[in-house]
Amino acid sequence: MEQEAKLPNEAPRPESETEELERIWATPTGFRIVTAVNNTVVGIAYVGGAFVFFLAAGVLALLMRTQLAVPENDFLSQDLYNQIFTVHGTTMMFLFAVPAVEALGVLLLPQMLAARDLPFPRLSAFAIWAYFVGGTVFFLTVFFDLAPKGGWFMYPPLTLLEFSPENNADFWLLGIGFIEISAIAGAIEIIVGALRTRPPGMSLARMPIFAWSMLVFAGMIIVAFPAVILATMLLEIERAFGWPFFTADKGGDPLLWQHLFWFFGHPEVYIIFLPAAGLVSMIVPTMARHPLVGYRLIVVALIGTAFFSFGLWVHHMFATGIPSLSLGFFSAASMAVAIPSGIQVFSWIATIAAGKERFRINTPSLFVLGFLFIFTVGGLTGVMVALVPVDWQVHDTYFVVAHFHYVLVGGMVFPLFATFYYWAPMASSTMLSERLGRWVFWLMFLGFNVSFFPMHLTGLIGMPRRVWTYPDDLGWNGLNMISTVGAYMLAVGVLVFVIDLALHFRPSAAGGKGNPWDAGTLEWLPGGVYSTRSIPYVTSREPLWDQPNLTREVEEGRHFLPGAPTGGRETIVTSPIDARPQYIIRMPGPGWPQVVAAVFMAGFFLLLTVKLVVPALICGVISVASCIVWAWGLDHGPGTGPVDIGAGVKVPTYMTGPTSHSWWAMFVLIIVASSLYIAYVFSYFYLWVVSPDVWAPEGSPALPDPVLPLASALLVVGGAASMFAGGRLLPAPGTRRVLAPVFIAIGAVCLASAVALEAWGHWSTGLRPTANAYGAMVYMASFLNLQVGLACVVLAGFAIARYVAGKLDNVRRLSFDNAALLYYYAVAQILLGLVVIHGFPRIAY
Amino acid sequence: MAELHHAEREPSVVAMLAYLMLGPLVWGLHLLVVYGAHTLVCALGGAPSVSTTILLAATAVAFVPLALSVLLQRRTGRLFGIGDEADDHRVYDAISRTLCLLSLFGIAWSGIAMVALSSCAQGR
Repeated sequence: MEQEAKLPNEAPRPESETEELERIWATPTGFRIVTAVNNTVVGIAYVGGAFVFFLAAGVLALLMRTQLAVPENDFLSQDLYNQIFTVHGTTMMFLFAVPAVEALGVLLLPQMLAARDLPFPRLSAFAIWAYFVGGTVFFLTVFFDLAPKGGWFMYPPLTLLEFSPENNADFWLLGIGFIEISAIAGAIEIIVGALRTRPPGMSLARMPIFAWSMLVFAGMIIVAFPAVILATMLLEIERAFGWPFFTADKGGDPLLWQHLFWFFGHPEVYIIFLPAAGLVSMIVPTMARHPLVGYRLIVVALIGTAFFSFGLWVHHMFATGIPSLSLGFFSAASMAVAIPSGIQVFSWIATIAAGKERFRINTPSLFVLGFLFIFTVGGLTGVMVALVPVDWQVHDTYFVVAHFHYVLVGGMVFPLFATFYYWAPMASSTMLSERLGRWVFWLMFLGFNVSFFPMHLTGLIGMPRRVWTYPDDLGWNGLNMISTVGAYMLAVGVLVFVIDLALHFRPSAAGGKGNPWDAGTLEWLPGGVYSTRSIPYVTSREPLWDQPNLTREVEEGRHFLPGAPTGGRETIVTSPIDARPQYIIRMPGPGWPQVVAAVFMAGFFLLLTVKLVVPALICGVISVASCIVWAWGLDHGPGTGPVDIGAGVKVPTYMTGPTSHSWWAMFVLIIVASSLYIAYVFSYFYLWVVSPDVWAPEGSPALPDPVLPLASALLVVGGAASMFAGGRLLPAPGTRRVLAPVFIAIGAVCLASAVALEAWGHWSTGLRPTANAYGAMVYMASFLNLQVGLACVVLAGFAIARYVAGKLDNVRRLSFDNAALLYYYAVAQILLGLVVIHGFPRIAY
Repeated sequence: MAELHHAEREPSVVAMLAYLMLGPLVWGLHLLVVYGAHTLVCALGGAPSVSTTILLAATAVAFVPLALSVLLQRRTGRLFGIGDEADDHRVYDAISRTLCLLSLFGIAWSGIAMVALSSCAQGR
């Protein structure tokens, strides 16, 4: 009784609370299901979509293995084979692996944090619709001879217009660039969700390892993806408009692509692996019935791996003629990353060994053990290829194909199947079959090793990657046949899983099968469409093990926020470190705007790919208009004032400034923008370093008069002052002060003028972006400024429109705060650009 | 549940992230400096000895303060605003310390490359 008296709320709670929660969080039915935003619905659809792409890319793999089964085979033409291996790799990396782990974040994270949903539910829904449409169109290109052929890394000069004149490469560049935007949207959601929607008491030190891994994963996405987004922009601009970033005889360099691509591409491996490791860190303690051994070390390993992974990109370029000492730095970092990865493996083994009872062997744990074996082998061959001489020997051979499949299939696919079997009872009213599950595991485990282990040998005896066939007399025949047999065995395993899914998986947004594994984390609390009946107060890392009455107390509504005090969808926002309740976030429900925005944005990119500019622009306008409609309804204002959520804690239902979740999201978006710009600055200096003698080339026009960049700088600084003044002059609620929107408008005009003046200054000197790489880089700075400037102008216009509509004042000011924050960043970016473009050439010569 | 009301004990999130990631951040800066400086010196035709000197200096500058922060972990924590009264400060100290050790290892490993290999020489 004494313990119960300390609970946040009294029982019994009124029945109407549950009924109201069910009404508020109800999932739309019929065709309106596409408007759903609940994380359970969106998450299951997202996982399902990723799995369909996995199956599709798997079929392409089988076609390739069929082609390679015997020498001199003509089952596939060379050109189609090139398209198939490109689409296979691209689909597996961009349409399956990253979306699958992001989908699991959307599905599992709110449940593990006992939040009612992620903080931006429509953003999650937008991300998946963008991904579905863009991904499907990209994949279908393989059926129409329109698929890219340059490999999943699309190296120039092969992918330049001269060598790939058709639209095939553009489908990759625009399609994948667009899908990366979707991944970044999901990452913003996950960062803010993990840091701000944890239940009261769940400090960082008590956060489930999966949440840590998703936080690190999302942090890596926002730093790594902008580099490849910039690379795709540069290559597409070169293909479409002839700006020679990668053309050597005009001062460009194809290796710039490799640097940008692999600065994303190597972390990508860990972006995929770390969440999977997080999933394993959740499954192992449950099956061992023992808390995770070395929780702190696992956190260290996640952060350490993430950082080290950014220092490895050059190890994909060991064969490109880089000085040996530089190779030494990256070889060292490549080997060092094995240490944090090893820490995790030892921690899992220690947890398995530490359990007082025997480690439970069932389908999820079999997949975990399979993962441990396969991933360790992949890690060991990874250390081998981190050694420069070994890398030179096996570079571009099947040894590398074997290595990265051991890392990626072992490190991601096996944990994913463990996840399917382990968490299915959370999302489905029936469990998957244990008997079929064991068949799935053994077929996949044996099939995988039979298929990929021989490739180490095939590579060592000289078979190069990406060849569509091979002569009869090279000694590769037997090994290739074995690999093909293994691939089919693996495929049969996946087929059995699909049958199991069809027979037993019955999605249920209203909760699954309880807690069949007797796990200790919050996703196993009973609940409904609204997540848990009340949001628990957490005192340990395994609350269900350490707080034995928690399930009952939560179900009785005795913890936090048992009802819906604002009458709408809401959850608790807590402080980022100690998870103290700060305010109630009010979230939007089902709606069309995010669906329309995503579909038409996909249309914009895809129509642009096939050079249908006018329809593309129409789609773009519709998409932006939908985003504006979507955003218009988000700023509710302070509403009814503070509400009691339990334990005497009264929190506001509205928040602005650095405490608000929308400010956090904008801040994360600014990190994305700054990563993109830093990648640009790197590219500028890289091209100068590789050819300082042509930077700027002899005969190039002189830089514009210094008065022009100075005027641009004054315009943006003045504009920032104007925005600041606009914020200070926002009127009190219910009053008007016309100076506020005037100052905001002046700020927008100043920014637009500065961007235009900078571009005009260069144009007036006679410099042209098509003339050489220097000119292209100069105009690229203006292009990036135009991007961010345009976003600021739209946001400023939005803030002014809200003022006119009486929805912006000095209390209800989220739309202005977001516009101002992005504006201040834009000013910093433009000033840095002016220093680089106008200052550096003057210093260098 | 009393701790839910003591918001004043909570460190700033930026300081906490910087504290936890201190080691990897220094490691990243070190890699940036040694790789950037070496590439620049070699590309511009500078003397290899200049490159080696810069690399040695950068390694020492990265290594010494990081090693000190490991030796004086709690004091470093306080420097970042994570006081002794902060909840779970021991967990954060342990994470920061181990990441610093890992980073020291990475910095030393990169530094060793200088001893074994000549600056600006092509490997092949």
